[in-house]
Formats: sequence, structure tokens, C-alpha cells
Amino acid sequence: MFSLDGLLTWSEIMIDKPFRPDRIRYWLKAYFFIVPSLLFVLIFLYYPMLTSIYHSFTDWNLAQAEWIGLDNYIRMFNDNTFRIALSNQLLFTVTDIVKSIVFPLLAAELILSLRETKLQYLYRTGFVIPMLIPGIVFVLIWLSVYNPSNGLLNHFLSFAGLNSLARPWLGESDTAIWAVILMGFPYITGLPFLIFLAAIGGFNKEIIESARMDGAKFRNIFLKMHLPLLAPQFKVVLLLTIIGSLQDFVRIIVLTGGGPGVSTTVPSLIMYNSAFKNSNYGYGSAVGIFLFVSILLLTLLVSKIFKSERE
Amino acid sequence: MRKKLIGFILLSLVLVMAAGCSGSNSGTNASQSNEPQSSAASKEKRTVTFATIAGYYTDGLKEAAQEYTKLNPETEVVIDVIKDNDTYQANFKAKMAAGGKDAPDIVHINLIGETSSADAIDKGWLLKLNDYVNQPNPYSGDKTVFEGIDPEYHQNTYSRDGDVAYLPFDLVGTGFYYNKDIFAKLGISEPETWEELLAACKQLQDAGYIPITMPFGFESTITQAFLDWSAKSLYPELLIQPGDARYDEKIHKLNTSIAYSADNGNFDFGASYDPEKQLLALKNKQYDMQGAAQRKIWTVMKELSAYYQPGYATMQDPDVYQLFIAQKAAIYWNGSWQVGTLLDDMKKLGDKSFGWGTFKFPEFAEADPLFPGKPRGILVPGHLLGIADKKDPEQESRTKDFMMYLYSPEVAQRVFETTLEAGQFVQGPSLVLGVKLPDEVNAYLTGFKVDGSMGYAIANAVPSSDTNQAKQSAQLKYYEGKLSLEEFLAEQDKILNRDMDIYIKAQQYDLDPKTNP
Repeated sequence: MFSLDGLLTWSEIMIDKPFRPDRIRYWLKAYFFIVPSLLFVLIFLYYPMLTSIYHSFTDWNLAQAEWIGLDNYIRMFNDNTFRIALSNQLLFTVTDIVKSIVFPLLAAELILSLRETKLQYLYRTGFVIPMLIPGIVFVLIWLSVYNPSNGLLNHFLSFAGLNSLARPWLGESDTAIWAVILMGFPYITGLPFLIFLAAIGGFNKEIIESARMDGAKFRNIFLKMHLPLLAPQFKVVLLLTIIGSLQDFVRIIVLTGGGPGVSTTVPSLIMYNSAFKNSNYGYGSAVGIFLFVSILLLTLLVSKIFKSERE
Repeated sequence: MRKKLIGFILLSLVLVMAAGCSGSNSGTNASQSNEPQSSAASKEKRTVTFATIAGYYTDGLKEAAQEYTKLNPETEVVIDVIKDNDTYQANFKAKMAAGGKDAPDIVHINLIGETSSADAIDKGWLLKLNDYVNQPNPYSGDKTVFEGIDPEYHQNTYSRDGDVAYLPFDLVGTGFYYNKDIFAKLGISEPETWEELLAACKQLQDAGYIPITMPFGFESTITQAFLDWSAKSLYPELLIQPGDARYDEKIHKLNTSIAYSADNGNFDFGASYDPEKQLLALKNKQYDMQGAAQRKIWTVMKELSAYYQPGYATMQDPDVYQLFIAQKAAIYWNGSWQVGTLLDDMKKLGDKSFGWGTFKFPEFAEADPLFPGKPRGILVPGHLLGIADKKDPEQESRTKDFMMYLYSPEVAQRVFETTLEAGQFVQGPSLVLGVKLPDEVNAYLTGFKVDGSMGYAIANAVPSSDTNQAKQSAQLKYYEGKLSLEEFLAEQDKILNRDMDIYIKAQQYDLDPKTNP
């Protein structure tokens, strides 16, 4: 049986006779445990991804695939709907980044600046509990908030005497994209909030306290101490937000289906519709590959910008 | 040593005997060939899977499946209820692409994602039912399968290659539902013309009601009905005729007797169109997508859109229905499949229920030569049951037997009754002869009984594609006043032409019907 007792250190394995029988057994055991996960990853992630590269050059309807070279990619870049989807995606991603950095960071700072520990705990719990709500429920709640006939938002406007402002928020091309973007106010819940809270809570309190004693105000402490120290957290949040934003079409499909017309459509929704609604799996694969490459490039860019000293 | 020797001899004897038995078995199998195998197969326990959509005759089908399994314990019929059309299509396609072993046996062929049943047969997805429909149905007093189905709709079941691809179970139609109580309160009568309908909408809006509600994606059934009305006189020119490369006398003979008549709403029944002629009609502007008829259609549509529910462009189907059932909207454009649900909901609403009825797609007050005769609508078989081609004769035989059982008048009657009791989809009148719907249900179906079933020779000349959203976007801009009628029609024509070019290239058409594609 494999036991954690007496685990060897890396240097023991590598430097001190790495091919001793007991060390080889150790290697084999380690690989034995990692192989099932690796197999799953290979079968369910890498294999479909690699076949998608091939299928993106074909006209594929699941039953038969015909090689058509770059036609899917040419069609994609010539398609006006795809260009609109790209500009929508840009807007979604930029606003998603703002929402996942500004509001959670401010909330974390404000909560940690409270003197009462109990109050801190209360706010922290209050903002974390909504994370337990499944994402789809959250979107459905906002769908009902925006409902033109019975929605909370229009009722509120009517109650406040602002009837003229009430409108079908998701049903008009001028307002739909902003209604989707503004969904989720005040944008505090979620992983970014926890990341910032944990990081700021872990800062050396003595240094902060001495800066305060030297006359530094909250603004200075935030701008000159917290922000530079939070660089690794910004990198993580940025990466997660960009990846999530480019991949996510659930909120759009539930709220607007990409409409009115193409007002809120995004490349990932085009990928989904092409493949699973119109059976153009080849074209869907091409859009998928485009998304994959975009995410990869953006990840590399963010990693380069926030390159830490250790790296 | 001695013990080992005895053990070895015994083991050798056992192995020799086992080999001998095995040899004699193979010999028996070989000599008796097929007969015992077939008999064993027929006693073997098997499962027949019928894939359907949630709420789509579900309870009735489940009951029929249970009853059938009681009669035939060796065949368990399972009703696999799939949540929506997209999942249904993906599920079927993926399983057929994987060899079909795990695919459902019975499918709604209109949900498998193939616009042409001939294509589905060619791909090896569906069985040809040519001989099957002429076999006696033991559950229907030995009438053939076809003799048990309304003969008026047999022609619909043929693919363009002349193969029977499915069995029709019921009819489905589109029409306007309306709230009789609201209409009576405002003194509005059932509209018979578009002018009356638009006037009624104005009156309803002034009284604070949402005049008309519909799922926006369903609006195309109105525009297609208009398109059919204005283009139907052209259809005979698009038929596959003698001398065309696609013409096959066995399959297309009916085409030679089809002639246009403005007074006969079913003049084109059973027509088979030549896809290249359909495309040429659009390319050569035999039907002009920017012409006078289209201008009139889209002028009416823009006027009508002013009365749609707020947020119609993205509103979800259940919310649309809710507006009608909550009496906020007075008119509801939808399909006959809502009748069962509405009847059930009215029962549940008790004293909050309201009187409702249906009316047909209206005509114009003054006859317009651009729109000859009467408008038609959707009035076609709705529940189209095909059998998956799983290359397994025994499975095929079991599936066919269950289909015969389902198409017996008693079982079909029970399916309808159970479905109605459960408040699920009853799409329209049954096509299984001998099935009777309650008078109340029949009365509500009158609005769907249009002059004839509309043709799609122009509407479906180019299969729907990824550009649907772009078309819808242009349409909304036109409705919102951001595009003029001319700009909108030009944009729509541009998208259509681009789609046509892609389709022509993909199909490798030379646009000459006389040459073999």
C-alpha cells in the first residue's frame, strides 16, 4: 500500500541514487495515482480540442466531414455578425474586468477598515453566502428583474415616479447590452472579493500601522502600499476574468439569446449556435479555435505584464 | 510425484472432454443455421426506446408503452423524455454518428435536424417504411398500417426520392388565439381582414391591453404565410418535370398533374420541387424579394409590430404565454399545440378563467392581385414518427410491432385522452382513423383549419443558416425605424444572396435543372 509516511524529498530522490529500487517503486506509485486523472484530461479535454483543430478546416455535420481548407476562417472574419460579436465581446470583457477588480477591491478594503471584528465578519459572510447560489439561478433572478411587465426594475421606476424611464431593458437593441453588463450589481460577491480580502487581510499590519503613525492617510496607504502589493492578485483575477468572460455565454443565452438581433451576441454564442443549433460543427470548431487562441494570447500578455520577480 | 501424475491425467481428461463438448456445440449450431437463432432472438429481452420531447404526448405514450410491455414482456418500451429540441437533435445525431447502437428506435423526424427526410435516409439514419406501411396491422383488425391513417396525408410521408420516411400521428397548425371576454367588453368582433385586425389592435392598445403577443422567433410563420400567398402562383414552374435531371417517373409523376389554381388551397399537395429551379427563381427575380408584394408584406408587419408585447425581441416563450393567460395580452399568435395546455390551465384558473377562441390568418379587405385567392398557413402532420436505421433486424422488427400497436385506433385514442387529461400537447386533430377528440377541443381547433397548407418553394429555397440573427437584426432595425423599408429589403436581399451563393457552392449546383447535379 502507498503510504504518505516517510515521503522522500525532491533532493533525496534526484541526488541520492535516483535509480535505487525503492525510489523506482516510489516513482511508479506516484505515476499510478496521477495516471487516471491524466487519462481523463487527455480523453475529455485534449482529444476534443485537437480534433476541433482538424474539424475547423472541414464542413462537418457529425455524420461526415469534408475538407474545405480555410473556408470556415475566411467566412468567420468576413461575417458582419462575427465582427459585431467581437466588439460586443470586447465591451463585455472590459466591463467584466472593471466589475471584478474595482468593486470587490473596494468592498474588501472597506470591510477590513472596519474597527469592529464582528462587523467585519458579518459583512464578509454576507457577501460570501450568495456565492452558494448556482450561477443560473442568479441569471434567472436578473431576468425577472428586467421583465418588462412584472419586473422589479420597472416597478421601482414606476414607484419612484420615473415611469418614462421604464422600458423593456432586454428587448431593445439600445439597452440590451447594458442591461446584460449591469446585471449582478453591486458585483461584490465571487472569487475576486475573496482573493482581495485574503490578500489585504494578510498584509503585515505593523508596516501599515507605522505608515499610519507617520501620517499616511487611507488614500496613500491604498495607492502606494496596497495596490503594488496586490499585483499577484490582480494577475490571478485578470486571468480568471478574461477567461471566464470569453467562455461565458450562459448569461447571454438566458437573458437575450444574443438578441435583439445581434445586439448582445458574442463569439462563444456563435460557436454554440453554429454547432448545436445549425449543425455546422466545422464552423463552430473554427470559432472555438479562435477563442482558444485569443484566450491563450491574452493569458500570455497578462502574464508578461504582471511578471513577478520569481518568474 | 504419483499424485502429480494422476492430477495431470485427470486435468488432461477434463480438457479433452471440454474440447469435445465445445466441438459438438459448434457443429449443432452450424447445422441448424438460422432458425434457432432467430427463435432465440425473438425470445430475448430487448428494449425499444421512443425519444420524445417533454410534455409532447408524454403521459399518453408512457401509458401505451406500459400496456404494450404487459402484452409483450420480452419487449420493454421506454419513453425517453428529452428536455428540448436542441438536446434531442444533438443526442440523436451523436448516437447515430457513433454507429447507432445506442440511438433511440423511434424518433420525431422533424426534430432530428434534417430538413429533408431523403437526406436522413441517405445518411442511413432512418429506415424506409415503403413495405411496412402496406403490411397488415394485427392491432387494427388486419388493416394495413396506411389504411389506419388518414389517406389525405399519405402523400406527406414520402421523401423527395419517393420513400415513406415516417408515419403521421396528428395535424398541427398556426392561428390567432384571442380572449373572448376582452373582445366582448370592447365590442370587437373576430377579425377577418388585416385591416380589421390592425384596427382591433389599436382599440386594444388604447384600452390598456397588450394587443398581440407571440414568441418573436415564431413571427416567421406569419411572414412565411404572406410569402406563400404572394408566391404560390409561381410554384408549378419550380416542380421537377419530365426532362429535368432529377425527374423519376415513379416518384415525380404527380408533379405532371399539378396546376395552379387560386381557388384550390391544396393545388400543390404532394409537390416535389427542383432545388435549382427554386434558387433560380430568386436569382432571376421571378420572385423579387424587393418587389411590390414584399413591400406590402413588410409594411403590414411593421404596423403589426407596433402592437407586440414590450420586449418582444428577446422575451422567452413562457413569459409570452403568461401575458395571454394573465389577460394582459388579448391576442396570442401560436400553434395548435397550445390548445391542450390552455384547456388545462383554464381548469386550474377556476373562476379566474376566461373565454377564448381562435381565428384564422386574415385576408385583405380588398382583393389584391399580388395576393391571389385565400391565405394559407401551416396545416401539416405534426407528430412525425420515423424508425432509426440501427442495422439490427430483430430490433427493427420489435420497433415496428410497437409502432403498429401505437397506430391502432384504441391505443391512439387512449394516448390523446391521457394527454388531454394531463394538460400536455395535443397538437391538433388525430390522423389515426377512428380517434375522436372531444367537441370542446375540436371547437378550439377551428382557427387552425386554414384554406390549405402553405408551400415553402420560395421560403425554403435556401436552408436556414447562421445568418438568421443578421436577418433578424435588420428586421428589428426596420421596425424601430432605423432602416427604411427600401434599406431593409435591400439588406435582406443581400443576406439571402450571400446565403444562396454559399449553398450553391456547397451543393455544387450549376443552376441548370437539366444537368445531373
